[in-house]
Amino acid sequence: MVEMWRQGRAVWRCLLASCAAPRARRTGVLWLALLLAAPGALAAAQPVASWSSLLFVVSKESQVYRQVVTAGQSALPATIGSAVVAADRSDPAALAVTIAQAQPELIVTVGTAAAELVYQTLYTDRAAASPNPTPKPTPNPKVLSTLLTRSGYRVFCDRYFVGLPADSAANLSVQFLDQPLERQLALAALIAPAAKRIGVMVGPANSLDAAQLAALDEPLAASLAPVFLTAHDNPIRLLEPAVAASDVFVPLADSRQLNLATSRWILQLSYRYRKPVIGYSASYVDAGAVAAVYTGVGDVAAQLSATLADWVVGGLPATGSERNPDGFSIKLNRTAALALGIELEDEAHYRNVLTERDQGAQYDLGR
Amino acid sequence: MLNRFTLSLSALMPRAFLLAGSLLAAAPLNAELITEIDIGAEIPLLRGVSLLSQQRAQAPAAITILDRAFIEAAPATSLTDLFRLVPGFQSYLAAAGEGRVNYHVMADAYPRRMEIKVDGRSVYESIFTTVIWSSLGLQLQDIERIEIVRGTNAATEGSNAFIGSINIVTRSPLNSSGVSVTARNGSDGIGVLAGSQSGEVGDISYRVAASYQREDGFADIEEGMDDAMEAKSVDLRAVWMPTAWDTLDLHVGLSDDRVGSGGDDEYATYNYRGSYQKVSWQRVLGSGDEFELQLYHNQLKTGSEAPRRNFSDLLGELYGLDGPMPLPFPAPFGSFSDQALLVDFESTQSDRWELNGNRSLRLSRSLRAAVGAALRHDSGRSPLLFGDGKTIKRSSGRLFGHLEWQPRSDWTFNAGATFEKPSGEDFFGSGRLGVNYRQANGAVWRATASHGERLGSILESNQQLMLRYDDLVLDAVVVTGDDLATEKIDAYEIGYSRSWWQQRLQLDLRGFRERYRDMIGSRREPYAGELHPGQWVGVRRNNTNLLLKGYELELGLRMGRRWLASFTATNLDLTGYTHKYLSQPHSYFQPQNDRSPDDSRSLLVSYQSDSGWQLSLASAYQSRLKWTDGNAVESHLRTDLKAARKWSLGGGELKVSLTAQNIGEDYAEFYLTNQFQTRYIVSVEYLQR
Repeated sequence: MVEMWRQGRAVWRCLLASCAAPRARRTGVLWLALLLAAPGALAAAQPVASWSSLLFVVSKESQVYRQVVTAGQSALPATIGSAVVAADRSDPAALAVTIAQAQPELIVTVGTAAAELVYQTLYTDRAAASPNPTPKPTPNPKVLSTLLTRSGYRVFCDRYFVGLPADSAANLSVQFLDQPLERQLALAALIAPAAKRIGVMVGPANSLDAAQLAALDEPLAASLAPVFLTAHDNPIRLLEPAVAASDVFVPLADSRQLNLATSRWILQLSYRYRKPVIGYSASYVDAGAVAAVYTGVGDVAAQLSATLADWVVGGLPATGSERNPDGFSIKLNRTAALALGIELEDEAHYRNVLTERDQGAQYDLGR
Repeated sequence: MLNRFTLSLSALMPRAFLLAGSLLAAAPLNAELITEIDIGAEIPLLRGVSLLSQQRAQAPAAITILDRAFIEAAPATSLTDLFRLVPGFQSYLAAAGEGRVNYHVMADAYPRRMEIKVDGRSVYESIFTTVIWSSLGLQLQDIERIEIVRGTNAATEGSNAFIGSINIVTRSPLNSSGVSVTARNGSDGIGVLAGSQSGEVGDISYRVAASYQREDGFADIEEGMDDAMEAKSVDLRAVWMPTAWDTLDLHVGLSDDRVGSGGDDEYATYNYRGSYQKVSWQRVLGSGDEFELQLYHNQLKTGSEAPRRNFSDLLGELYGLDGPMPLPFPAPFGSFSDQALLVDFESTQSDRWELNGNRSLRLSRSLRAAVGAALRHDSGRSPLLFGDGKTIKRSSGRLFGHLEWQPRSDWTFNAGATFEKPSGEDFFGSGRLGVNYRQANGAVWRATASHGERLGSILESNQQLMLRYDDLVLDAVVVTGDDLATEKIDAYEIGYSRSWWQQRLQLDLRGFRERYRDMIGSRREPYAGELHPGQWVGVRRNNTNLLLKGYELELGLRMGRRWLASFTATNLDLTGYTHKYLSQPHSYFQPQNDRSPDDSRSLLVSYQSDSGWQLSLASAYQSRLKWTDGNAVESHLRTDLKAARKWSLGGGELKVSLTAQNIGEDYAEFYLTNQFQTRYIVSVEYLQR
């Protein structure tokens, strides 16, 4: 127990030492609460990990990120100290100092901004992409990114990982936020079992092309009819015939501006043509979509907690990985369904069917 | 026609639009990257309460939404029928063709303290200080949904929303399709023929609607009295999206109505000619915030079919003759010649112009705001109401803002305020504070405190309703007193809402305490007329103070597409006085306890079968009350039934329905002469998909 306490004190001192950085950077270290003073009996009952320090980097200090961090911390034994840095109050130089002093063996990024800050800090100088490269912290910690979209990860790969040696990628694991499109399409097919044609809206932030979408047809009894939308298009000119010709419509998440701009028209067209919309968020359902399958914060938190628990027992992974969300949430809008003349089953029914479909399924992560 | 539309739209676009457009074009967007914030961003829902897109659980007010399913399920043939099913509302017929809607207190022949909007355009008419529902040209099939804020919303919408607000959202060209035709025929000469068509011309989506309706009025009114109505309207809405972020919405309409109005034994027939034009521009900004600019104009011309009567006829009535008084007239009118005197509306016109803009802002993940400003110009001309042919004008500016803070997902704090500055008047303002707490089981507690102020309308502030012979005042009916203060309301509310069975069953319960001060009414005061020194005249004064306590309950059930049910209950405990007569040394303060119904209940149950049948029942109970301007009416229960059947026909849907309204005993609507008997209405609708 004394040893554990010493470890905790050491991390604490390192983090405090980072306060020698300028004031703006000092505020980056938000929560220095180290959970190292656990009772000896409790520590004795917990597995002893082969690694001992972890740094959470969150996009900002708010409840959603805090919930994920709390779930992660709950999986850690008392032998592993953790601290939290908010990306919106830090920068690469300050974070590099923090990492150099605390020497975490694992960094967990929570959110897009957090992931970018960590990638920039750890990998920019190697890629020589920045005119003012920051010193590379040593040793190079493992990184686990969560609450990150495929789109964000793809952009960051292009931005920070080009030219990196293979061992860098080996340090990086990602748990994606966006549900596999297959799951959204499967829910669409469940809501509208007689559908022959599933309309899909693809915005500029999605890298899907028609060929990739066509490959998703196979397990479905319906064909996919994509409509590709850009910022310069009149959305009605493209969406109106697409919704009209579909039996069920599936918009894919894009930038917030595009999502908001198109959602109102999609939902109105949905009512006009009596075609259900299957959204990608709870908010879409609140606004009028018949159903959505999405990754809730609880799903993210649970997956992180389970991963860290595994790594506590089995040690940090030797190689990186990319994983879809393990869990998913479903939300139904019975009022919208009623307006469209659709009879919905209980949420549990859809959950069970989707879970069953997931058994042994390998969803493509290349998108 | 619509091609010309496009050209005129761009030519009419004010410079302010273009300037604002260039300013708002900033906010570069990383078009390649989707973040967790993009995915979780809220899709717009309600904006009426705070101008922010809020879910009901976050809104600082009680809200009722009558959606399309509700409207179709209800055995209603008019908006007045629908509002009977909303808690706290009084929905009544001041005349057969003059529906009125009021909330909580001060219901009279011209209720004027609730903001009524159609697609965000205020239709509160500035001379009659009420809504002339027939001039709106709205049929139920034109309506997408109705958003109702129960309780003062002056903090967001200004003084017109003193006791509540209604926003009627019409079907846009995007959620209605093809052609629809409705024909209706029923008792009391009820007849409706309405149609609409939606389509696209170039980049513009449009919907055009036209309607004709008529009815003979109540069967029991006295022989020779006319309470029939006939209304015609045409309406065009066009939506144009030059980019994915921008929406231009143009809405224009015309209406022409002939309505028999009055009660007891006094009726007059009025012609209302209304028109409106509205253009709005909405932009979704890169940050996900929204910006909206709106310009509209409403005009209503009113005329009576008999605006003038000969002086000899009036004297004949006064002296109880069967015909006109022969010349020479008796003293003191001996030297008067006969001439036509103005006794009703002639050359009466009101106009309202308003330019308003608002913008939502996300200041941080937990803090959102909405800010806006509005400029309004009201003008009215009515020789009868204002005493001469001059146009009365009033300009006013309004600034409003709302702040929502959600420190945790289960707590929402709201604060909002509006400041108004009418020309020639002092600043006044309204505000609201609210807190919502969501329990783990999904139940939401809501507490709000509001202060609202309302300035009298241009009629209340300038009324000079008199019978004149040239410049000589023969009789004064209503005039405006000096220094009218603003009306004031202080309202407190505790609300609780919860749903069960995956939102199939929803409950909203609110208890409230509302104190009304300085309400504007008419006080009878001695008037030294030139002919009769002992006359009395009604003078607009801040003569009423009220205290209202009570509760409202709303329970909704939706079981699949088959069952829809709604139950509401309202209890109002009203106390207070109107200073009714000023007669020195004693005054008469009239108690107001019976001016609102103590209890009202409503029930709607609808069942839809797989074979296309829909059976609906709606009952509305209202306890006795004494209508201001109207009569005391006993408590009554009105029950309506509807049986409808749908068929698929030629790529569309044919619906035939039979509605029986008030299947029980007759009851009185506002005046005892308005005896509502059982009515049967057959309706045929065809909707092309």
